[in-house]
Amino acid sequence: MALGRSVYDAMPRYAPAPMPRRVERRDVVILGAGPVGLALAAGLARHGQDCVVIEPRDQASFGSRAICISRRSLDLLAGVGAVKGILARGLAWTDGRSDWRGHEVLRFAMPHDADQQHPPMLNLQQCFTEQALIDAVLERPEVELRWGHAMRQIVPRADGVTLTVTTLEGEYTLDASWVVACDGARSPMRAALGLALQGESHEGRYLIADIRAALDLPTERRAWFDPASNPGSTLLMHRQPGDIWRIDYQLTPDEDAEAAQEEDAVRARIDAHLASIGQPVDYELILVSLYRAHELTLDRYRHGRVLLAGDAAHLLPIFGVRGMNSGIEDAATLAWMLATVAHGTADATLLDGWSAERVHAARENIASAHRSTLFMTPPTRGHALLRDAALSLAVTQDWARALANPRQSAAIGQPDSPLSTPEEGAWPAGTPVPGAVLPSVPLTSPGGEPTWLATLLDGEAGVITGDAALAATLRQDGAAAHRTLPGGSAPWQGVPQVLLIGPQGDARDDAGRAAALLGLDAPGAGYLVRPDGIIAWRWRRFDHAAFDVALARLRGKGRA
Amino acid sequence: MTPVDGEALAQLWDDLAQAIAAAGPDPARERLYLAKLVLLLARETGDADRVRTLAALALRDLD
Repeated sequence: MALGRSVYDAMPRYAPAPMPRRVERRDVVILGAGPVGLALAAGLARHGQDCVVIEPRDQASFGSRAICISRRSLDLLAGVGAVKGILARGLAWTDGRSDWRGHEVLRFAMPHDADQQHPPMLNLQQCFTEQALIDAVLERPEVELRWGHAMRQIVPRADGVTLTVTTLEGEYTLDASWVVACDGARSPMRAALGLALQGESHEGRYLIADIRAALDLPTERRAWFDPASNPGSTLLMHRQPGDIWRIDYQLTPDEDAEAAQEEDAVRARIDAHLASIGQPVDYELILVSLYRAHELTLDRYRHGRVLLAGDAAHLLPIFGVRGMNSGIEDAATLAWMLATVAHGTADATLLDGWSAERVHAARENIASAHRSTLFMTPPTRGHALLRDAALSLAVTQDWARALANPRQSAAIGQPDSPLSTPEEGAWPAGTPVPGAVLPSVPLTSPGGEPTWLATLLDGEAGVITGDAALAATLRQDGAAAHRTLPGGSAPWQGVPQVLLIGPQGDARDDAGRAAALLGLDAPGAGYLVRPDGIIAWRWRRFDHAAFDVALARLRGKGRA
Repeated sequence: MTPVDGEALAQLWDDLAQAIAAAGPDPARERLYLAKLVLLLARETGDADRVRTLAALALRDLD
């Protein structure tokens, strides 16, 4: 229920794309211009791959929806040139607090230190995140964004997919080598393929309300369990830009959902809450919706020439904010893999590797979110009782507070990825292994300015080393080092960029953080990093043949 | 861990009975008290498997 549409009236609208008058053949078609589809389009463009995005709407989706953007998502969006607008508009936060029956039972701070390029979390209404991505892809000639177009029918073929697309002008046929369904939780593509999500759906319901109010409160995640203002309920509160506040509260099992969404009923609950926290202010009720937690995924995300990503492939609980964030990870990894496959420089089996990695991530996310969900929506009286027992103990016992920790979204590594190569040599403990996400590493540019390793990689694959001789060899002898790779002219399919960290290199390690975080102190040591920031291989002693094998594996050629 | 038995167990039995009574008479307070006690004892034992076994044992013969 959208009550306060005026808040988002300034969102740009786009004219419907003209209907093509003849059958087209395109390499990649993306269904859906939500955050996942747009991130994928931006990523494909980043890797030189054309795509068409089909979207029934004529603007970004309405309202706040997924408001919490994780550090990992910010890192990935930076790699496709879409993060500046998000950082400029969003509200960064680190801390959270939880209360139980008027007692503070938890204070948490997400990991954040001077090594980090981005905050651990940033709040921004999804429509503005989408707009930042729209603005980014509109600058890319590789992306054709077709507003007002909707998929009506698909016919899968061995070498592609034939789509029937409807527009206001009529229907047309679009032949695609690859179709990526980023068409959301009610994915028409998933339905068309007859695929069913597997897993668990929780009965507990939350009402989600956005209000506009001038509240004197910091940007942090707040939770109240069984507060006097809303007895028996759990209430969450997040700040958004523009004096918008997200207030989620749990409905009791006997509450009528329709009645609970009536404006008077919503206001009564919110009035009581605002009064209880000393903020009895007037407010505009902007949006009301109902939510149930799901822990669902497909068992694979590649079905022939159709790939499913984001909510089309998996539905994750809202608790821990993994929904949109995992979808952005889906998109970032798929972008470089699909680009290499579409370019013909990688085997299509690489996309099975993508599916395996992202199903693994979905299952990891579900496992992490499951305990939070049991805590936030106890499914049985036993869960509710032990939740309250833990919260009661947490008033005085530090160890019990761990049970109340909301387990916010974190980067998911790929320790068992078939695309990784086992590391060579003995590495210092605590440094990132193949399959891990490259940590944020602060560096100093040759001009003396602060920079970060990820900024230098810029969303591309790369070799990172502190060995000037190795860097020179790889740069000068690139053709020999990569002689097994076809298609060297395609973006990044040839010689990955080589970043030398050192006094005469691309950046200096003045603070010693690269040495500490990566262990790049041995002569010849280095890392091979994928465009999505996942470490593909690392070595203490470089070997050309092993390097070729590791690179080939990233093209779906061979398995570890 | 050494089981408590004999006179010490009898005294503990009495102490627990009085504590449960003190938590009541509201059944919700009694349940919350017992659940907290279970969590505290579970943490103190440091043996999750043993706690699960005892939890299953306590579930028997409730009628």
